[in-house]
Amino acid sequence: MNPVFSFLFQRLRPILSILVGLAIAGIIMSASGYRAGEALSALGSAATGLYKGSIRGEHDWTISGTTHLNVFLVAQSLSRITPLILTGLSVAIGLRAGMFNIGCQGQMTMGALAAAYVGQFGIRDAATGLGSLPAVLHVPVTLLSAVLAGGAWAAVAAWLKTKRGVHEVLSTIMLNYIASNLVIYLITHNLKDPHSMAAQTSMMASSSWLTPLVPGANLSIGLFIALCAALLIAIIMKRSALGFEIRAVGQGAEAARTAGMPVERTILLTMLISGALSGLAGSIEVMAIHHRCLQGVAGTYGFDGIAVALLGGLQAGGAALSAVFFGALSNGSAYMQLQTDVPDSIAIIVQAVVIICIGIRQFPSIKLNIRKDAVRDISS
Amino acid sequence: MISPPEGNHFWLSAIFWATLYSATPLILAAMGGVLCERSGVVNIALEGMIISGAFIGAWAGAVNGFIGLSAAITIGLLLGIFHAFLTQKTRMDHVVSGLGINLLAAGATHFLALRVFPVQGVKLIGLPPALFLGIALILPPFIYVLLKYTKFGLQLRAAGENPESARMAGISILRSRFAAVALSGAFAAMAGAYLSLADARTFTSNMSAGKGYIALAAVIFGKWNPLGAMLGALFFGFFYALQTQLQISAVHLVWLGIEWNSPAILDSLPYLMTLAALVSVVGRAVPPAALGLDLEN
Amino acid sequence: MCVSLYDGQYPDYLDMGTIVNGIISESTPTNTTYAVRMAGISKQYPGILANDNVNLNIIKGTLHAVIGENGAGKSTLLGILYGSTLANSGTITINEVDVTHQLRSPADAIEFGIGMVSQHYSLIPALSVLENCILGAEPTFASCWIDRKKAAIKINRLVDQLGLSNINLDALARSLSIPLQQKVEILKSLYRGADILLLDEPTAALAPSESTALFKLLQQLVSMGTTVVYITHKLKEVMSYSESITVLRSGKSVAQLRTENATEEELLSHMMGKRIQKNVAALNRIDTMGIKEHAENSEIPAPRMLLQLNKITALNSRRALALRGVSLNIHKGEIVGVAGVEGSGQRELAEALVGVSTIEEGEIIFEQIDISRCSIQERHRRGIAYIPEDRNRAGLIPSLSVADNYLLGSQRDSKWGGGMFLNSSEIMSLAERMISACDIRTGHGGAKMQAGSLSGGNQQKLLVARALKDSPQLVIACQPTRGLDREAAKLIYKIISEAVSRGMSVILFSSDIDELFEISDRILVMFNQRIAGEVARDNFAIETIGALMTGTSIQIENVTPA
Repeated sequence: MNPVFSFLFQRLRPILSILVGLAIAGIIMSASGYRAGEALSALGSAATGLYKGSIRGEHDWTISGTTHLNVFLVAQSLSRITPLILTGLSVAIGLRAGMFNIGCQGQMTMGALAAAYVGQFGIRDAATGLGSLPAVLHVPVTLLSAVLAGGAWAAVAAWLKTKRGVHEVLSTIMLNYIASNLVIYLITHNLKDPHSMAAQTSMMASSSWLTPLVPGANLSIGLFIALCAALLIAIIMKRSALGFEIRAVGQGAEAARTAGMPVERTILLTMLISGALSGLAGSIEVMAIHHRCLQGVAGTYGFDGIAVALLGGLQAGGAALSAVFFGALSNGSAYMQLQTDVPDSIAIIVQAVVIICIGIRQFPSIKLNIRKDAVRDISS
Repeated sequence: MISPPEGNHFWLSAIFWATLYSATPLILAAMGGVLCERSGVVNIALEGMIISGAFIGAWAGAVNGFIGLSAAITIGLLLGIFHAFLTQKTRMDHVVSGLGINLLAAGATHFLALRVFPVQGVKLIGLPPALFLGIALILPPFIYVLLKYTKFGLQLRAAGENPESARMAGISILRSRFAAVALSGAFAAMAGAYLSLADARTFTSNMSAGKGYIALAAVIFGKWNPLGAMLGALFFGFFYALQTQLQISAVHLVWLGIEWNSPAILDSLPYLMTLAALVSVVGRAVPPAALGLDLEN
Repeated sequence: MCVSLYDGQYPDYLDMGTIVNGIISESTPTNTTYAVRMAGISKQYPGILANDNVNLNIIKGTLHAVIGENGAGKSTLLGILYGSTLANSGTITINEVDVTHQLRSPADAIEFGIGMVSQHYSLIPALSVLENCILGAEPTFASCWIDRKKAAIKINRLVDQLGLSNINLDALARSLSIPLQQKVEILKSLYRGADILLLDEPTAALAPSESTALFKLLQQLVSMGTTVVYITHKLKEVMSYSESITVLRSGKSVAQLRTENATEEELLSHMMGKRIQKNVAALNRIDTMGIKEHAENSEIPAPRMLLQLNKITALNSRRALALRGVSLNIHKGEIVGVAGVEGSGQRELAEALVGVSTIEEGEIIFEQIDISRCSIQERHRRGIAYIPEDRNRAGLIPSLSVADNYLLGSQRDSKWGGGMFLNSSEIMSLAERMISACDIRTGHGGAKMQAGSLSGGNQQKLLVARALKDSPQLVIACQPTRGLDREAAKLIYKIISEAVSRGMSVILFSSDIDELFEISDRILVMFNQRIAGEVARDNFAIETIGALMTGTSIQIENVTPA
């Protein structure tokens, strides 16, 4: 391949992957008899909050002439972007150390559960949910509990990997199912809200809630927590000794070991951080939106994190950017389903296509005829 | 610990049959897993192949179950070829390719199910479960013989153990791997067809519920041997059966303040046992030497 | 000296080519059939010309040795003949048919009746002997079922012909001993109808008695009409068993001769490129002198002791004994070379010293402290540095930058810009300084270049620089100049010797005798997982070392090294 073209291709690859994903989604929608154009424009409009015509809401902004911005929809997209940044970082940092953590779903669930539990501390009045703890204390403690719970859940997989040789993909998947069932048990038994018929925990004390940013929307200051986490991970990966160890272990574990690096400890620490990030995502979901733990509290954010991380090139900044795309896509597709009846699972198809496009390492016609034999090392 | 209700015999025989039928899809998918992994390709995509097979089976099998089964096998073959193409021709990481296919299958089946099936759900005449059970019981010895006594099997194993030596001996690794992965797709899709056509007689999204991953665990548990994998599948099937039998029975068990017979606890039983099995067996099991390796490196 | 079972006569000595000052003058064969004729073979690898206009002529039905030092291009040449490596130029004739354009893969070579027993055996451990033999050439019925009976009959016939016994066709290849695996490799080739058998360093991992048995087998094959070509650098094997010899040096074929007309001295001079004046007969005398002197040395008040190994035993990855009671002493400021045939325990000794592998018994005393249970990091902190043999896997991380690779291992050391947080400008400037000090050619990117993009020599300089950066007291250097050109090697010696002049000690594992002679103060020779003897600098001679390496010297057997 022409080097200039190749360079551009590599740089533009994330964008191209997204375009291919959307194109295939469009084709699938039209092939199944939906009006693809209409659906995609509904999706885009809900994802970005932009719409044409006369202004609809009092809080909406006018961008130019007939183009307006629905602040509520933007906030909804951003609220979905928040956990995706964190689960994307979670998958990315794991993969940087060579660990394919697809247990973000379970780690996030455990984080949500821990936060919902700790968030009930210090409730003076169960009916009103008024807390006796100051928010400056309660919020960090609740976040911390989720970080610990997520980290611990991931540490199980790390331990199984380093001590028993169990592949992390299988162990984390099993742990996902176990976490989800554990939550279902607890919200129907020990932690069930006694004042409600529904399977959910009691309402958390308001002192543990995250401050909403847009009235009525799910967006909270959790977004800033997620962005801070992205910044922190970027600094760890680029500037810290730990980040260096993670990169070295992921790129060449044997050379790292020979050079005297603690490979096993690095894998364990990486998984702890990875799980902590997913746990944090879970806590933000309950602290900002539900204010309690309920079934399916983690949505599909854990799995979506895989696509976010891969599209983001396993970089913290990249993960944040690709979370923007997938978060908006997820919000857009939900509204699209309401407006046009097109199932929101089209977003999953886009995700799958993006993962496959990013994963391709070589194009068959271009490189396959290079014979390995011809470049074998000499030794004699 | 568990005291069965009245009529021990009924209970035991129910567990026995339930074990066989719960294990049926696991065995079918695990046989796909054995073939694929023995040829050197990691197959996380079993899950996606199962759900695709379930969907296509239900869709094409609305009138005739056998048409549904054939259609499911066809989609399985195609997904297998796709996985082989991605991993062997584009050198994609096997896990990434598998996850991509799983997501694609989950998304597409959910999307299309809402389109092609009525809102209240599809009702299928389907096929007798015994048919699938029969296949599931015959298949493992058949795969065993295939791997051990045929030219195809020998070349497939060579491709999974040492592609370089196999190439030196003049074997086409790609041919072996494409065939193995395609067949694995067919078996996994057959497992899916069992779920929709024979077991549930309907299609629901996510009806595969991790069975592909558990089948893969059964493969590891059985040390990549088809007969061992069948035993692994039966072992996990037993816990599915136990779970359903305990749920429909009136057993009530509270210990340490935990209600052990609650659906949530019972549902996690197969997953917990899978994890336990992996922990106990993996250290001693030797995977095919070239499993998951990129050919060019 | 020449033990040939070949009962035919050579038609004419001149057919083998005559040597005139090391240059071959070819003469046309009159009535000889050549199994192989390779002419003008050249093979260019990035940065190295592995084969330079090489000629190889092998008469049908003979046992032919290809000899040369490490890196002389022997394996490349056989690789080209087996189709696993493609030559840049030259012609190949098999059984008097020009196949230059047809021979492009191992599968083609098999078609032409060529079989290969490679240095790193290519049996598939998880398959049985029978399955390994028939792989790719399976007899079947109904074109799908393997006809085991037919295969077993054919293999057993070969087994009988060769007089082999104790081969269980259903045993897994991984359960076989190394000599047995090798026999199965030969069976595998013969099964495919090979009448030209290539063996790459077949005795590298064999004990002397096993080697003898192997050559008996090869001679038997020759007597049955097979042509056998083997690579070796053990002169004894050449003189005792081969019928004709091709000598390679630095990628060129420098001599082609009949064994009965060759002497060890002559072969050595061709291999080394300089006529060795010492009389081969003086060999044993020198040996004893070396050992005696060593014994005396230990009584003189020794210079400061740095490292002491007491009866170290270790297992390899196959759980076989890889070190059998190795003891040695290293003093401050000396360079101790370790020589030995590949697989004599050098790798395991190096790994045990560095802490990559654990030892079973014995103790490693470094500066009066037993470090045998210490981690790699701990040993590194105490002053032991390592230059691993496998540059690209155990040494560098090719996808990381030069600066990152330089930092590797000291990322928590503030002296190198490490610590909790890295000081990247410091790291870069240190790396840039190292790059200019060691004259590493990184191209335009400087320290930011990927280590994998450097040439082998520059990668090695980087690896050496990293090992030396903490001013270690002891460096374990494994094959530090393998695959490097002379210029790069010299620079590496210079870097090392500067550190030695500041009091550092070096244990140099090398298969390059010249290199050992050039820079070692003394040489320890390993044989059969032990230290067979030690030679002081005054007594350095190819013959001495060679004898110790092959375990053939009588005097050596009873001597226990310190």
